[in-house]
Amino acid sequence: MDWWLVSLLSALVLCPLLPGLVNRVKAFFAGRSGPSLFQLYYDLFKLLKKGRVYSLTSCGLVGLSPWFSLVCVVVALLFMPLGMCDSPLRFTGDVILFLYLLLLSRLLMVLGALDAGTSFEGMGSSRKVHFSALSELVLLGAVVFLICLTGRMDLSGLLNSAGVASWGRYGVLLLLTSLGLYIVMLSECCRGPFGDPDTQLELAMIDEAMVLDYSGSDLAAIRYAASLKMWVFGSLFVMVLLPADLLDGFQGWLAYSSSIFATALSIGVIESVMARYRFKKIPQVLLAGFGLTLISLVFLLFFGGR
Amino acid sequence: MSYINITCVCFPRNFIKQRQGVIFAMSIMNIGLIVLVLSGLCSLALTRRDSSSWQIGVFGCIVGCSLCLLGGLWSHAGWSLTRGELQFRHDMLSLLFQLPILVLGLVGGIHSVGYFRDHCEGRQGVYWFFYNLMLACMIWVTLAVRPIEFLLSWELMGLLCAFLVMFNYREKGSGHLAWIYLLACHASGLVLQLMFVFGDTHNSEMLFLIVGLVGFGLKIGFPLLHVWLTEAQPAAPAPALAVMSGSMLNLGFYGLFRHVSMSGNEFFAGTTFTILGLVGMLFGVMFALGQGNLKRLLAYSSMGNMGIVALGVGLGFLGSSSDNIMMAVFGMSGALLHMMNHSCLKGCLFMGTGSIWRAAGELRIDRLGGLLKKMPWTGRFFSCSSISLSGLPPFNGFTGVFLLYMSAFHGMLSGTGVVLLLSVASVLALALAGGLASAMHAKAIGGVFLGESRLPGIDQVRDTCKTMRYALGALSILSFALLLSSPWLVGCFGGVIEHVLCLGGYVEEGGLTVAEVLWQEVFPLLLGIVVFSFLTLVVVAVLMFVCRLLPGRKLIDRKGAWDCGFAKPTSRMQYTGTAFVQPLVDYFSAILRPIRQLVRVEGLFPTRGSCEIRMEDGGIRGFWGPLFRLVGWVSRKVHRLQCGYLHVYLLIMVVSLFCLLFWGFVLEGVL
Repeated sequence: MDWWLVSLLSALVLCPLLPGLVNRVKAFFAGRSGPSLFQLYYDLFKLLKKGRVYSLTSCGLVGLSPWFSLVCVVVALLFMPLGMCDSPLRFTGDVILFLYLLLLSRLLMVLGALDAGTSFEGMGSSRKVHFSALSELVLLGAVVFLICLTGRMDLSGLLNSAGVASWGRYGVLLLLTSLGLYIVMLSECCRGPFGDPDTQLELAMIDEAMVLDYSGSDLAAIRYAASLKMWVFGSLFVMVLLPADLLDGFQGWLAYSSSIFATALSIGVIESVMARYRFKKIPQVLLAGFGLTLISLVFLLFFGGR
Repeated sequence: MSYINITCVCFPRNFIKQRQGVIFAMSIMNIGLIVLVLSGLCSLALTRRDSSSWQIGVFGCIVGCSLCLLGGLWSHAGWSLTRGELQFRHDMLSLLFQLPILVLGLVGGIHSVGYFRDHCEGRQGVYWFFYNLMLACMIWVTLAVRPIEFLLSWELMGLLCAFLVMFNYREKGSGHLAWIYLLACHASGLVLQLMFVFGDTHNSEMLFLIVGLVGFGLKIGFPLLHVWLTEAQPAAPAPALAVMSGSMLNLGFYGLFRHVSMSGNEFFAGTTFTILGLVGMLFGVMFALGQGNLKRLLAYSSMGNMGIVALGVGLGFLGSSSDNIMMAVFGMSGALLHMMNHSCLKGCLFMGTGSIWRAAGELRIDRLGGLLKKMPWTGRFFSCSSISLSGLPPFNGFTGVFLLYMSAFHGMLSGTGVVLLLSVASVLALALAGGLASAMHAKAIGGVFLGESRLPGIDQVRDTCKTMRYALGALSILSFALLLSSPWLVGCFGGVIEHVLCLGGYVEEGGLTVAEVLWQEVFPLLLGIVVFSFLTLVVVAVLMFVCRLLPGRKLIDRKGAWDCGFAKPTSRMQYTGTAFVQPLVDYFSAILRPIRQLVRVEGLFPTRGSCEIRMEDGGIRGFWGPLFRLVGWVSRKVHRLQCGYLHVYLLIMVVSLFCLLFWGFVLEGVL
């Protein structure tokens, strides 16, 4: 419980480090010195002080949706078993609430983008709903696998009950599922080969296209929510990979946090060495992720002694 | 009124006192029905005088529905009444299906006042006649006991609705749509007659079940049987459509629960319902994505939601067939809860389309836009209901879907074989449908209410009518109340679930009863959902308040949207609803088969270019179209026999006589 609180606070405080870390790795690969690790903190601080510009088209949703969306991610974070500890707020079936809160946060961003009424935002949100419908499938595929594996129905139980023993038996299946979750993480955070957060080119943009009309404190909320979302999806991936009963207390917290930063490093490496996919290919890759979770499910059900 | 025989179904301890209450409630309900019918007739009689006819109509609707509501809730334990040849029965199952009818009927009546103001002069009396009679008829369906009365009320309900579909008879094609509607209603009635005959002769339980599924499925809108729902029904006036879509589709399930006993065939029923639900849900939401007309989009969404309800019923039966009481109760209570939520939300959405239609005179999503500025409250109610209907927290649409997920999870954990397979499929299909539904509702909200208006006369658009706004607001408040009360509401479903799943109070050694599962397992989960939904809303409110303290928060500058470097941006440059869903529609084009009509831009000085994307209904394209073409082909061939020569007719008679003789003597003798 104590370490869960510590992990929650560290997630809320440290998550802006993740994009900084990715950028540093990319700069290293490109032979540049790159922006500071704390760049997002400076940006957030600067943005919070600024005023806002709204499109004449918009009708008030623009000011609401970033904050509502941020709250959805924060409430979803409350169900996560952070730092290898079960969440004190868990209840049976909270995994569905968790996933649907993330879906709501996406929908609100989409509606906010449509409110601005430019074709760029329309384009970005159209891509977003397309990809997120498929990534929802991968996420639920992974959840089904984990439920069949652990027999639990709360998010803490799902991610935290696969100990060393089940790693010995089902290690390969857990690896496959976590790979599926990794693909979802890249797609949902628009990193790596799925989207390119650096360009301002409409060909390459998904999330970035959706937030072009935001400014000031609203943009700060969006940037912060994006990095927090990266933390949430990163910890989904990490918690599936880490055996639950290996470490606890401070060591657990340390292992968990460092794994998330390692995940951010790996995202940086992938972004540096891989070219962006064409948009036609993204649904195929997401379906491949779904296939991975489905394969692990089939193997678990047929050869897992059930 | 003198009642010949009154029995109190629940046999309470202080029978006499209860009995007086029951008689009182029953009388109130009957008076309500009579008020509905009489006010409809008066309204029709006064149709020449517009104002008095609508006043009588709406008065009768409000008084009648309130009386029925009062009577129904007062005696929720149930009663049955025999008077001469007529039999009525009222119990929890009836009440569960009456509530959406009465509430939507009441609110729809209020909405109709605004909808028909300065509109349809001289025909309001006709509308109120059909509307009030339709409500009375739907209540009668839930009260009828014997097959003959049930069939009578069922057919009458379909007939009245068909007249409402034909209400705008001056519009092109409305006769054809009413014809489709009538065909479907009569097919349903015919199949149900067959079903009751089978039921009487005790032929085969399975046959009885299948025929019942077809007959009632025609009213629910199961895949392939949905054509009337998505093609014809949207032609009805919006408030009537809200009642029809929100509460009449439910009555199909009522009929199945009341008149078709599934005991003994639980596994078959579970498998069938689950598969029908899966297909209907995905099919409905996918086709809804591609629709350009708001009413038709919502009609397909109704089909998808009825699929979700069917999925819940199916999971319930699968659970009871595999002795998994948790799965059974979660699935069935989820189905019932989603049905209530859907009624409320779909009523609000269809009434919203009525408001939009009256304000803007247009329902094509690609021609609308930016209405939130012109009709802020309608827009807010519509958007909230829309998000809720895509099954997202912190709204009420989430609760039912959540229970279905839990049911499928329980099925996965302890099921084997088909149960396991269908549970996994349900979870994955629900996930896909959730993602697609949110895209579909984003299209509806974004296309109609957000962005820049594409309508030529947008400056004249005003949300003037208060009654329509009040109606939408009432349903939105009701939706929120449904969310807050869902844990307790589900607790009331116990008796219905036992009745439908044929559990009959039977408990295994050490097992839980239905009521125990509801209060010990379902209740805390729903309470958790309610608490967290509330928490989310509170945190958003607090955050929005705190944000006001930020230094730059008050500085708001309004500038023209970043217009992509266009020198003279117009509203036609923004993404339309069709463009918004185009990647998804293309992705599922194998199922949706969009028809594209493209006029290419050619030459150095192109004159015009256009692209139109239409979508034909999958049921018509894949099944009914070919079937009717085949029937037409056969009829044309047979038609040749009618050539006008007497000797050919005589020959036909002689040949058929010989065939009959051959059958009668030779074949019967041999067999």
